[in-house]
Amino acid sequence: MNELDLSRQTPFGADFSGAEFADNPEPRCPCVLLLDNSWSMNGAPIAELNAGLATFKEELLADSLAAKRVEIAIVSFGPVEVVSEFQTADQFTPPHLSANKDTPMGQAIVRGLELLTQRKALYREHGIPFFRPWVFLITDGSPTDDWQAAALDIRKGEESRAFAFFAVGVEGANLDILQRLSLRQPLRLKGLRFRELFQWLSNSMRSVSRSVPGTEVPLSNPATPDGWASI
Amino acid sequence: MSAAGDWRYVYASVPGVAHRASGAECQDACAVQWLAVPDAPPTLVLAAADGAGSAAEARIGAELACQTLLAECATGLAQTPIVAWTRADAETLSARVQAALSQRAAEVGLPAREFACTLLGAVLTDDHALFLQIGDGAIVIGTGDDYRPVFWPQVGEYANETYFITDASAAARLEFATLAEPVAEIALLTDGLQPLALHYQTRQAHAPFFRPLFQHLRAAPEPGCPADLQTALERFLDAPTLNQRTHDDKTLILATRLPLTTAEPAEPAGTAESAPSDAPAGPTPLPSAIPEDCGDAAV
Repeated sequence: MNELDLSRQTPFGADFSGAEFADNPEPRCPCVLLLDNSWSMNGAPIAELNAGLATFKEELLADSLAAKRVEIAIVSFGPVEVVSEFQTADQFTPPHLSANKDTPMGQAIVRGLELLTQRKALYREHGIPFFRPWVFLITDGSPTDDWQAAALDIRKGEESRAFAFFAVGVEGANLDILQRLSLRQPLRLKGLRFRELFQWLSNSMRSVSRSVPGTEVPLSNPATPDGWASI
Repeated sequence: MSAAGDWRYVYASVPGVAHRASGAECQDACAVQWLAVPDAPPTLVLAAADGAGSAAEARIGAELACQTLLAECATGLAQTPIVAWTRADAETLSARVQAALSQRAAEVGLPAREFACTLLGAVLTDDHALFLQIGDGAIVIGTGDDYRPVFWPQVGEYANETYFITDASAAARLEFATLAEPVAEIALLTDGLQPLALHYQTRQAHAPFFRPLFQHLRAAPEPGCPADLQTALERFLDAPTLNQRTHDDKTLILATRLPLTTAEPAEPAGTAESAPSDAPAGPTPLPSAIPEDCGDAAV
């Protein structure tokens, strides 16, 4: 890099960033949601997605530990926008997304992973222990930008155990590309079962956020006949 | 001198709400022993272990590790005076604990990792101390006012990863320290209590957690392990205020040889009995939640 990258400098306001950790020193369980709000999500899909996000918060709040440990960040794409910086579930306000333009999925992934890297640095700086982060991509389309760099970032991150990356395709999604992005088997959302998806995600994050050393985190299989996903 | 010298101590392992909800047993264990070795100074030995959640025999592993540590300390101290102990002696000690777990595992036809646990140990004489640790949890020593962790908990990259005595790399991971001065107060705790007892940002002990507990203990009329405070500690460890902060099993050993009089210097009146919001002062009697026997490896 041959020029000063200001976006990587600590912003002035970040001087107070430590306050949240002093107030809540619980270990953190970060979760990045990469949400497709391209025009094709218009109508019922985006409405159900928004309802799912509200469910996500409710379910996490029902667990006093998860409410203080699970941190959510949201990057929407269509265009790429950081809708919600990392916040613990008790502070998180579910956004209301509206369907917009195209599907710059590659750029959104890169942006989401950047947020995660910055957050992990902040945890380390403040001595906050954390669990392996989850990145959760939900889309109904095909990337309209270059996604090769994003695929490489995902591969590197999974191989170094920096995070776990999950991809979910809503009807119309290009599962072939999701397969090439994600090392894990992409899941296909059944119908518009966003609420069930977020209930499952909340349960999974609750399990991770209370896991203790030496424990495999038991996750329920979402692709059962009653589940929200199919493979 | 009484059966425990000047030491007053209490110790308990209590199952976390997560284990209780699922009907699982407590996978922590702890033990305290007052050693009277011929030709050696009287010695207090403390041990705590946290069995790995994934290990099938975690509870047995944790208990066996504590008992073996006590027995091997007694043997080792009979051969080598505490002042002469080196890291090599501590590694021998940890290897013997590891061997005991492997042997038990072999007897029941399981891999040693099914008995995996962390291990914390402290050996204290009048003017000398040894500490060793593998994995998370903490040994905290204090003067009656200031408290500090001897080692920082060993964690892997993520919060749910640590190291165990059964690991092949245990000897290399072993933390070992000696102190050629008297230790007035000491606490051993497993990771279930870390969020309350340690301040992560400064990597220091959270003194408001320890002060009221030790003040209660110093007030015990006789040296030794007072049965009423032992029960009170179990209740304290099972209090809802604690369980809200941690769902994991919790072990706490407290030992002090400070007299009550020097324990209250220029503190404002009422400090000793008032409850800081983040650390309830001393054991609070609770109507519910009688802790089930948690397999304290009492000696």
